Amino acid sequence: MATVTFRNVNKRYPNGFHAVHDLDLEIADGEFVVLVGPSGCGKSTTLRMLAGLEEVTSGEILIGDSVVNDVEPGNRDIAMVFQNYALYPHMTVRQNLAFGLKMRRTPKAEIERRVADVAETLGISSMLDRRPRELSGGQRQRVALGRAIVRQPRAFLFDEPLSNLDAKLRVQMRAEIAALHQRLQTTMVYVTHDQVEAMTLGQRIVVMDGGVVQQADAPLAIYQNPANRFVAGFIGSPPMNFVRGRLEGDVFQHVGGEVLLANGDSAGGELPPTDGGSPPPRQLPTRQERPSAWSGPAWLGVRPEDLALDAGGPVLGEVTLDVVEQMGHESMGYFRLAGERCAMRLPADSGLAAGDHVRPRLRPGAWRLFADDAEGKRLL
Amino acid sequence: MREPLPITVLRHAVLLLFVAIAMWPVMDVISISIRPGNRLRTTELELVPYDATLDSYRRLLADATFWRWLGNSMLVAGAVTITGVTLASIGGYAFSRFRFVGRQAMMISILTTQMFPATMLLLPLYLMIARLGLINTYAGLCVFYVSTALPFCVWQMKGFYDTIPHSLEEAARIDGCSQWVAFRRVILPLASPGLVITALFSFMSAWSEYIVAAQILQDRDMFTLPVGLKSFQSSLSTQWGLYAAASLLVSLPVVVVFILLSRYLVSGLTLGSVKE
Ligand SMILES: Nc1ncnc2c1ncn2[C@@H]1O[C@H](COP(=O)(O)OP(=O)(O)OP(=O)(O)O)[C@@H](O)[C@H]1O
Ligand SMILES: [Mg+2]
Repeated sequence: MATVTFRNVNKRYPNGFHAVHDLDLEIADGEFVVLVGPSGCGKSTTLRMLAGLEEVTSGEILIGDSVVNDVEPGNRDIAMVFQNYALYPHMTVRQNLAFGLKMRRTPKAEIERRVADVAETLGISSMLDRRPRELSGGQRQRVALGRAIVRQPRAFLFDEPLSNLDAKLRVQMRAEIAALHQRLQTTMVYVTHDQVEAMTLGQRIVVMDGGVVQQADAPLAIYQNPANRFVAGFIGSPPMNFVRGRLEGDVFQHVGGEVLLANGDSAGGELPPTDGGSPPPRQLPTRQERPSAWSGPAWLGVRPEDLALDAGGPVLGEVTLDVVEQMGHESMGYFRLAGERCAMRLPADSGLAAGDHVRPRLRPGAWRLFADDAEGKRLL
Repeated sequence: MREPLPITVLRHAVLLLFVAIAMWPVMDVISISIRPGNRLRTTELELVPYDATLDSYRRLLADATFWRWLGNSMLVAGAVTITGVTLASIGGYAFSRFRFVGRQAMMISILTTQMFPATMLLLPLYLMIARLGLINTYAGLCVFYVSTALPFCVWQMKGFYDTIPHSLEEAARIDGCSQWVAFRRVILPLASPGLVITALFSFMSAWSEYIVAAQILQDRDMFTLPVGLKSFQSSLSTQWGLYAAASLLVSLPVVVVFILLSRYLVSGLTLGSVKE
């Protein structure tokens, strides 16, 4: 068990590519942290530096209290599960599981006991004498997981361990990994580009983009209070809707219309009851509190579930549905507004279809404002 | 869709023609080796003559010099194979996995050496070996063979390692192996088809080589089989039966080695290890 600390870590590849910028991150003992971000954002690079498979260009990585920059991967007492499983093909499952322990000169009886234990836990006992090529993808992934667990390391590293599994198996393995963390209470660092995995597994999510940490916080906190437009758009599915426009006083103007963002006295009046997970209501600063230059270009962001025909807040605009996706318990309507693709929640039995005109309303207070620049910092 | 009959016939005809071309000399040598006396040429067409005999084989196998040469050949080819495989397996790994100054230049120069005919290298290499005082020694011969076979072997091994995913040795290193141990315990076993090909190549090139051996070896006792065989062809009378029998016996070890090793020549050894 150990904490993991990144201190101002940078990674520059030999070809000059700066893959990770000034990474500062403290992972508590026993914490489950998920690194998430789009392809090429530097998640794997970060994880591989922690594993000792990539050198750190500058800065320090600590496991426990000791700097491990120059420690061999095998001496860091960590285990890693690879996206492609990386099982030793010439060894049986049993030998695969035992290999790390053998390398550490664990007594034979102890190895046997631990391998049997782990195989039992993961339900692979009957396959111990098979070779990896004789296993299905899901079974291979279990063996890969077992190879990490059997070592009882101070920290587990996962690099997109589920991305090669089919959807159903992925959900099942996801639950197993969560259960594993519950049971072992070992520090886990998990890389994925799947934001659902991130939300469901992580105690804390670190959102990265372009080698830079955009935000690191609890899943719900990130969902409700994204630090910038990138995070807001990345976390959540379907993603948050963005409408570009101008803020003038209390009014957000866009090509499709005007939205009165002032609270209380605007349409809808009192707030609807907040059901589980819904963000706290948001208010524009009063005129006195407002910075003098509080007007100008901005992006209005609102999550699809906060946009509905009966949401009670101001109308976003008059739009035409492009697509209606029936999902059983509700349906999603898609439309374009000011050139941006948007989604809204519809009742399952609304009877609406593509081509229909609707007037989606915001749930009062459930909107965000982002600066209209490259950084896209959240204004409100 | 079924292939039209004429095409099938044509295809088989062409293949059979080439099989015949390939097999004819071998059959001829077999036939000569079991003819009594010194009949190189004959008007008969049978493969097995009416008076077939294994006399030539008996005489050959009773001949101590033949055994001596066989031993010499084994020694040289064995040494070349072991040295070649060892060096190529390590060198190929370095080229496949490490990025170092001069890597590109070295790889190109290795490839370049393959563009020259071996006979062109004969003189300079001979001079080098002479200066080293290695004329008429097995060491001299081995140096020559290893240095001419190595470039191909290294290239071959590099290509093989390139197909083995990096994550395997990364997993091994996290499991507690040093880079060297990861290479030995995980990568090398997976590269065994490559090693087999390299070993076969080294062995065969040393086993059947004549020109260089004829220059470097001078004592009759030191001869390898190909050089020894040539000495059957004396200026007065060539013992063709003996010569043919010996040729066949010389090829035998190569065939045996090939059959023994060919079961390792399976591809897809890394199957199931990683998912691309
Ligand atoms: N060995 C390397 N040399 C140069 N650049 C590299 C190297 N490895 C990765 N990169 C670059 O560094 C960036 C980050 O790579 P990394 O593998 O960390 O991405 P990632 O976030 O894991 O993406 P993915 O979700 O696709 O796995 C990428 O732009 C990649 O092209
Ligand atoms: Mg990656």
